[in-house]
Amino acid sequence: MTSEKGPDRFYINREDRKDYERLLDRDSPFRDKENKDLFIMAMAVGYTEGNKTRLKKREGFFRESYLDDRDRAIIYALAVAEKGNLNVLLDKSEVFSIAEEYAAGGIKLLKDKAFSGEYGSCARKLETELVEIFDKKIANRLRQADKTA
Amino acid sequence: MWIDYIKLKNFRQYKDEKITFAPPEKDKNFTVLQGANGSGKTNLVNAITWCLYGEELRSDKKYEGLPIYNTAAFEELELGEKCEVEVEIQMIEASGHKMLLTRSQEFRKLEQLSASSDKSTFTMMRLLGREWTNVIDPSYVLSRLIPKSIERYFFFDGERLDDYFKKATGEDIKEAVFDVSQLNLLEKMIEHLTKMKSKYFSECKGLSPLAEELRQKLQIRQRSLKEGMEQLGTSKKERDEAEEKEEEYSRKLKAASISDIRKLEEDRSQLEKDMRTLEDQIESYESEKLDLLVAFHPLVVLHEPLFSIKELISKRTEAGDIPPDYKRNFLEKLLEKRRCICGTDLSKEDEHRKQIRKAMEDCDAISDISAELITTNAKVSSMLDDLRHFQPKRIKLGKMINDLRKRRETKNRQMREIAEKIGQCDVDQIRFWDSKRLEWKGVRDEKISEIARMELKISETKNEISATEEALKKEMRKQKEYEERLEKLNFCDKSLNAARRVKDEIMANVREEVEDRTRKEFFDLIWKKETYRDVTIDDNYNVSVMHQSGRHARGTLSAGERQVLALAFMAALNSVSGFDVPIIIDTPLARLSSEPKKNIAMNLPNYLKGKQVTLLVTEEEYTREVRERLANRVGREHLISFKETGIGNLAKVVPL
Amino acid sequence: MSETVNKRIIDKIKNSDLDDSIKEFLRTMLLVELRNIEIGEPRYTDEYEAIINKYVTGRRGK
Repeated sequence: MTSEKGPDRFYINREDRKDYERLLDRDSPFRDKENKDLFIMAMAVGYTEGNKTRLKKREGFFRESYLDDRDRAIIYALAVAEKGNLNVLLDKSEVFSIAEEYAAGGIKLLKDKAFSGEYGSCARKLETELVEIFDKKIANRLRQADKTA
Repeated sequence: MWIDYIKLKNFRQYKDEKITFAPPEKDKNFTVLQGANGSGKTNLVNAITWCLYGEELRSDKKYEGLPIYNTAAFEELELGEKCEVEVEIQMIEASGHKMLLTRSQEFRKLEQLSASSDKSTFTMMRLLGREWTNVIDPSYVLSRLIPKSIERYFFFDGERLDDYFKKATGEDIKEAVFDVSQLNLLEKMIEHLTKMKSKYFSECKGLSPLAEELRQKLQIRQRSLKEGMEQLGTSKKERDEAEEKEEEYSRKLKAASISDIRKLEEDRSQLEKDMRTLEDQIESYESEKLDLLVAFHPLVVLHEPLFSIKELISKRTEAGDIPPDYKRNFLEKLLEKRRCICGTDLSKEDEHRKQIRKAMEDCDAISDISAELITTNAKVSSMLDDLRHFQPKRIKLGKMINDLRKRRETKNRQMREIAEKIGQCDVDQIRFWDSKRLEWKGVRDEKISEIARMELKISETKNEISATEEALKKEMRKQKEYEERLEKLNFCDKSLNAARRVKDEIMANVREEVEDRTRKEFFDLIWKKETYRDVTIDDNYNVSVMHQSGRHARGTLSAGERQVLALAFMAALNSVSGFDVPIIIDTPLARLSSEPKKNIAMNLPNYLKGKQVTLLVTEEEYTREVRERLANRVGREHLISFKETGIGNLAKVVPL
Repeated sequence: MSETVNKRIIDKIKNSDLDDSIKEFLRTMLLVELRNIEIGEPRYTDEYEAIINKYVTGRRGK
């Protein structure tokens, strides 16, 4: 399922590149991840915080073709949530823009999460955060979905 | 390649001897030369290395300091007369071609026992057809056949082998594998390409002030990297040495006269190894857990948008918009083409065209991406389903990690208890050894941390160098006259990456292969086949032998078993080497008592099948039993008989 | 003279997905290194320069 039209790559702010590179350093908990994984994580963080940042000086970060169906679905879901309707998916440039702006808004915070605290605390904090969201908001919805099914 | 014969003329105790060797035929590939200590076995190996490299590479205390010419022959000379020392080796290549390698050196007698000589000369001839042809640049050709740097892996000293293996660290083993598989060529290429890059960058003087600044930064960082790598090498050696020292004191404790202490130390060694395994397992599961969290992070954090898009698509599906009756762009195309799919002409603004246009306007825009929406919906459903597994997977991994941590804590506690008991032993010597063991353990642990820090720093420096190089290249791109240099730089970069990749891949393959062969040869040679379970060589090239019980046994192998491991490893090196060189083993069984000697001999026939193997043995090694056991594999057998005369020593080689 | 660089290395290069020119260059330089390895301080810079030139300017000529 590849998009036929729209941009062929995702962009980041030039000044954010070194933050992404830091996340790939040997001592980073995300050292073996790929650019697209970090981008999506940053995007998710940006969305949670409500941080959207316009790109000033942009440069290519990874190709659209590197996304798998799962990644694409997440990015589409974000764009649809942002605009409130499915029509946004007709304009892939818009979809990409939304993803890029949230990623730009979330990268610094992602970097902080990775490196603040002692070594190994990132995983613990990440786990706590995800479990809290899951317990408070997701568990119920899944139960409801089971009932209606 | 194998040795057909060696002729020695006036070389040390060999006045005029010819020794023939058994070809590497399948069953009878062994040549045995038997001689007492000092009769000439080591000097035979020296004759070979002297012929090949102009140097005697084995030391023989008896002949140290003495000139290489045969003293008896020399004695017979008149003043001013010359004595020629010559060693000729005829070798046969795998292709069947004969090669003659000859080194000779003349000595002129000046006075009693004093001589002058010119440099030795080395020639190589190949038999092509019926004619012998001189090989141009024989030293170079030889260096491609049997480089001096690796001859010790083919002509090895059985007595030294045990020492080598006892002391050999992972780095030493790695170096051996490296040299023998010619990976050093790739290393050299990488080194030289890196220097070429530096050269091209240094030629950017006067490009721009920024370029100059970057250039200097690059030089500083490159220097820093070089120093860092050197320091890393030193630290690794120091770590290995500390580990060896720690092992040494542990061995002393394991051999202590008090049986309780021996048991405690055995237990402690095993606990330490178990701890390392547990640490690895914990690290692996923690990594797996982090991967899980990273994979689920967007799903959990963006669950709202995911639920939302699923609902939206479901609603539109229920409303009949997905899949649509028509796609809008399909209808657009019909209007553009001015013909319907039924063939109706749509070029005029008539009822048909109006109907199509209306249908198009009624069509929802999303009709064009309906296929994508259907796929997205399916994918989102599947992800939301996956979310159900988040907690169970997370909890399961967490439990496994906790269990391992508990086991680690138990073992830690047990180790502390042992440390206390040994520390309370009332024998001074025991307490001293224990404290030394602890001291060296401390040094080793410190070195391990130091190495980790250095590796991180080196990684950072490499990143900085890459960034600076890219910035410099960017400056070069601005000026046309640097275009060519930039191309060369890019070419170097591509080649460097390629060379590094090839090197890494081969190293991994070679290590595995050496491990497999060492294991196979070890179990072929060892007589206690049920005692040992496995032989492994890890990523750091540490060789381990595992006992059936699961314990690591390398430190407790007997001399005979260590010899077997060493012989097995040499055979493995042989198999991965890029060189087809015959094997010569000087006194393979010397240090062993009769039992292991018999046992190794029994299985030696399985060793290095298909290669020419020459054994130089003493009478004590080559007992009747050993001889009987090897009989089926021995193609040629000689006796080196030795005579001490008034004017010098003479060795004669007699076929048996 | 037959190839005497370890067959393993040659095969790895041959079967890789590298550009043909890079493959050829690596093979050439391996032989250069073989030749130089036993000679004390090899003067490699000139050889490398000449061969790199050939590959780079040769390509430019196309």
